[in-house]
Amino acid sequence: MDDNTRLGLYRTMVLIRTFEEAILREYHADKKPVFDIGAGLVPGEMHLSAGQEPVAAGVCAHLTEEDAVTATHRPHHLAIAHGVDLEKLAAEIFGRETGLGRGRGGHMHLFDPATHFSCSGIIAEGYPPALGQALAFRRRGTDRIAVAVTGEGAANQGGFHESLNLAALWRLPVVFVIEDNDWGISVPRSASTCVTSNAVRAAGYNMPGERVEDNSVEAVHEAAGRAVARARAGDGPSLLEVHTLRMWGHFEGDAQAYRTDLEGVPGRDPIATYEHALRERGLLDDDRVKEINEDAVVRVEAAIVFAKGSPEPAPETATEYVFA
Amino acid sequence: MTITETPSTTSSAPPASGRRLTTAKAMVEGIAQEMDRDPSVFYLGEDVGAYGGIFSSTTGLLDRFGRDRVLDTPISETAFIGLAIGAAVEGLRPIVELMFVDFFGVCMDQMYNHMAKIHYESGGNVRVPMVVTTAVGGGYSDGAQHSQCLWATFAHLPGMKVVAPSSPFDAKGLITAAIRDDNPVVYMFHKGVMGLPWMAKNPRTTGPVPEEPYEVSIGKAAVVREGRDATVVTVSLSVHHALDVADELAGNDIDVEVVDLR
Repeated sequence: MDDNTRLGLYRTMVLIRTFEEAILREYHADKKPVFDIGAGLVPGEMHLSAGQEPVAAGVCAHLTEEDAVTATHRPHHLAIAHGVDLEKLAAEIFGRETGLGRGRGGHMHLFDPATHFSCSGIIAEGYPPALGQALAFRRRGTDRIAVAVTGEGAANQGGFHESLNLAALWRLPVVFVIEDNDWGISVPRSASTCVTSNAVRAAGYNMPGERVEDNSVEAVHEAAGRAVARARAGDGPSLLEVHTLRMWGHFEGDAQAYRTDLEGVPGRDPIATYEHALRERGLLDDDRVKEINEDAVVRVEAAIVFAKGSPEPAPETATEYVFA
Repeated sequence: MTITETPSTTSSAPPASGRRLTTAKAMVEGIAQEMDRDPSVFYLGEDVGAYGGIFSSTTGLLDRFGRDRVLDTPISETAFIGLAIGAAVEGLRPIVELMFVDFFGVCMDQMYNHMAKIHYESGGNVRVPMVVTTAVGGGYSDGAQHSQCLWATFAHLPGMKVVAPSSPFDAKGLITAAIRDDNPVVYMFHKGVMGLPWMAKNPRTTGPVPEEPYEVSIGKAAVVREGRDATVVTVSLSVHHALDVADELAGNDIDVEVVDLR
């Protein structure tokens, strides 16, 4: 891996974290002193991705805007890493007319035709549409691929297993990614999943399976590179599981009383870990870190200002877009 | 994908005479003509290839268009209906068959949470031009899991159009309109209207069908029989039953109107 790639991965992760911290701030700003999930400028559930940046940065570094990504109810990191416009993303989260879906989708339902990005709020159900995108890309004679991302809790759903079978059967150019953050809301993976690594399930579908254990962005990048290359070459799908980290609650407002591993979380922050590694390599110093952080803040705050300054959908348009 | 010609006559009523087809053959003819016209149209589902569809919805299509455009799938409805959604999002025009509508329980999430909602959730930026064909109805002792109609189940949910042809003429015109529509359309064909050689014969399952492509407008009911004394509003195979009763009552000087919601 060259140094530019390393710095690019770091920049992407910082941009994601900066965005999520800004959403966290805005989300809670008008839900005080008593938390009311339906109050404020951004009402509704909010699933933030702090700690899972290595998956998004490491995988999406291999993609162009011509490739498809399908994500989950926790989609912001993947959207940002795949190049979704920050202003349109923020505006959609704020439910504004200038958002990706003109404010109709909200943070769990993001659709961006410009980058072929989409997500689904239903566990595992973002996998099957990725197969069709991959089929369409192949039918047009391109080497474009589809990346389908879900969490470890989804790997026990039918849609997950059906998708792996059909993708392998038809040798579709798909990379399946599992973000294993240890928790399906409050249920630890040990209480949900009969195998210690979902990568072993790939063998049942005649495809390579790999697990990255340490939430290292470079390890994700390397493993994803193999899977992406295989898909682009027409050799079929792969399954990649990353043991990542949910630093915050399942959703904002989740007190996480069930969580036994919270104490160690700050010390496992993958961005701090990577920053340290890049300092050791001489690629980062205080000035460079400051510059990268400031650049991210400028971009993110501009997106937040754009979102908050955008109009809400007019009430009389409530029934528009049900049909084309 | 460039579509160079769209022969697009819209017809509302069948011709009084002419070439006669069964409902199944009329449906297949409509699909084949659209596949000829538009290379982005393809058909997938269970037993739609060599078998030709359990209820003859795809007879001959595999021989004519090959395995790239007529795809037998595993028994895996969530995967292949979801696949059709992704293909439609990328600009193809899939027709995907749910063999019996009774099977919707294993794949409904893809249909009502994805197929039907993506256009709305995207603020109109993403279209999902696809057709779900599905066999409905009983009457041949197939039991409670293979005989349901469920039109209302689908029609109740926003974001997908629902059509139910009762005649060969409508079967062709509605499948043509459904394929050309930029929205998801659920095309519910009753087994009893198809004119299948292995079910009880019903003379209304064969009728005049123009050879050239035409559309029957989606969402417009048809008065299939005029009458001044009473009106029966119904759909699909019940249209046949209503017409049978109307014929019988005409002998008693009672003039019944029959409206097909189609």
